[in-house]
Amino acid sequence: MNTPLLDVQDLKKYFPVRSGLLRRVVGHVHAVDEISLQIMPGETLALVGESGCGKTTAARTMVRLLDADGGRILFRGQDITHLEGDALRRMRRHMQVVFQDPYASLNPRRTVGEIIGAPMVLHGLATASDVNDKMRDLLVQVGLQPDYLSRYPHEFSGGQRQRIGIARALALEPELVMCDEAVSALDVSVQAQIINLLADLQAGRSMSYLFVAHNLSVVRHVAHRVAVMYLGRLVEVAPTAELFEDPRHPYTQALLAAMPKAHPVRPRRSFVRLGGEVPSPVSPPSGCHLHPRCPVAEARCKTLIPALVAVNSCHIVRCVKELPRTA
Amino acid sequence: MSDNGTLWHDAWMRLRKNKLAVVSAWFIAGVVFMCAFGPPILHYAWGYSYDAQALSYGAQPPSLNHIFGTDFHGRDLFTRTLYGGRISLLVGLLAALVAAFIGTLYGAVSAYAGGQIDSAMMRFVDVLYALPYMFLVIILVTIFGKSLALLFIALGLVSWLTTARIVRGQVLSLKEREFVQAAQACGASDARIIGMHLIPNTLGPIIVYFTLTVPSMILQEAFLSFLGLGVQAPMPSLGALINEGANNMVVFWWQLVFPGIVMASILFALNFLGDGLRDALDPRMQQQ
Repeated sequence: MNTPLLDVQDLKKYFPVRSGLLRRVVGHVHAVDEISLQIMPGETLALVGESGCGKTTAARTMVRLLDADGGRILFRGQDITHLEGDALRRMRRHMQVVFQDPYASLNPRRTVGEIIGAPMVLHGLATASDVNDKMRDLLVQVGLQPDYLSRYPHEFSGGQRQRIGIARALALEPELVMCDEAVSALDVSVQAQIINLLADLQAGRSMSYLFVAHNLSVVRHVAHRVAVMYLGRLVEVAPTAELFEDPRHPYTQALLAAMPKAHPVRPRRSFVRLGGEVPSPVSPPSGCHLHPRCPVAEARCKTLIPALVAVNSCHIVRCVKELPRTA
Repeated sequence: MSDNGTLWHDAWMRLRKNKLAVVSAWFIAGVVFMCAFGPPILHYAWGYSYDAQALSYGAQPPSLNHIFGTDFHGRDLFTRTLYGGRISLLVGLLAALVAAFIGTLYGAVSAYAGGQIDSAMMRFVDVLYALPYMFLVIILVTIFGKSLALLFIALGLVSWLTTARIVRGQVLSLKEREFVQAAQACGASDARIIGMHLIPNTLGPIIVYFTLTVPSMILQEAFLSFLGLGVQAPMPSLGALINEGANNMVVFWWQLVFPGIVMASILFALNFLGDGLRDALDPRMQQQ
């Protein structure tokens, strides 16, 4: 196996919780708790979980938009966890981000040309003379008119804006693109267009995606592998087909059961259903974080933090037991 | 969600509908034009100047030759008022520019740096706020001497505080927007993010506050001139002229009335324009 493009080892990100007049630190939100992941060149890895589980924080920490509180991030074998200043800025070229909200992610004061062109010039990927041609090229690639360059973001629809955001990310010819809920703010029909666009763009170059999402139908369509997070921890990582066919963790099973069905009347495998609310990430439950909601929890789940167990060479799961299949 | 591009356009349309603001803008343009080109024309056509005295001529009431009358030293008051307007507008504009420049930079850096640096920088502003600031100007003027350049620097130095607070508030909310993170992800430096992404998006409030600072600066300069700390004779400013006129108002009423009317109408016009801009740029007015 060749070396992973991005190799994340035991990544941690804590946010201090302050309270009182003196803003004393009274605790920490363990937003990302010892996450280890690898992304191969050309691969799409989806990071899924419900709101507040830390998936966006984890992804942003991996591309150094946030500073890690522990663990290591290796990009093409190079440790980038503590890069600073110019070295960090140069490295950023290789990992770009497509944001969730296409209305907030484009500076309303800058034209499309400035938004896409400035990073290229900044990183020396284009000169003043050929930047225009390159930008027109990019706009065509993301399905926009090349003469949109002089327009401002407010003149575009949400889907068009997201295409501009994608063009900005691609302008730096990155090896890794982190898509932070890149389609969840769009209409369903536009979502499909953007997802197909992302897939087409990946086919044309050797580019990896780190795809943060909560929409499992989207994930199933784009991802090669899926990593499931619950309250800051990874609970299951598996190839997409295998995860959807054979989910091992009760949380993954519950997530899949909650997917809207194309044929609601047709009977299908009944999966686990979770009761209760997501616990506060400030004081997560002891042991396995899921035990208060888990329908198959045992006594030892309250104290034992299960290690990630390999079900096979590419499927790992964090649960104290192999679940009986509720076929 | 407001669209800033259309916001500018809408603001312009709203401003044009505000008759008071439009009239004020034209009035200010007229005053600026007269102050700039009036004195040389008066000098070449009639030989009037702001400092050549004709003591034997003395104080004359308004007439066709001297529409504002003359002062105690026989100088044409219209010429002196235009000169005074020049000085007052210059001081007002430059002091407000200094204030807006320092305040914007300070507020943006403070908010962008955040945390301890932000706290320290804002406590410094709080301390300056607590000082009686006219007192500070008087100290600065007495230490560094009475020169026109120092006057507007001194005024600007003590009046950037509110701008800094306004800009800081704006940047605090802006820096959480994703386009700032996008710029970071593209490898933009902090200076570039502040200069290209944050400050341009705070321009609306800065412009409004700027237009409201200009009249207050003119008023401060008048007050300083009134105390004898502002512009020095024979150079006139509107404040100095009003001071002089107030001393002689029982006998030579025109020496107070004309500079007073000019100053009051400039202040009114600037405030009306500032109010108009504030209303026009307020996104909550968008429905109208």
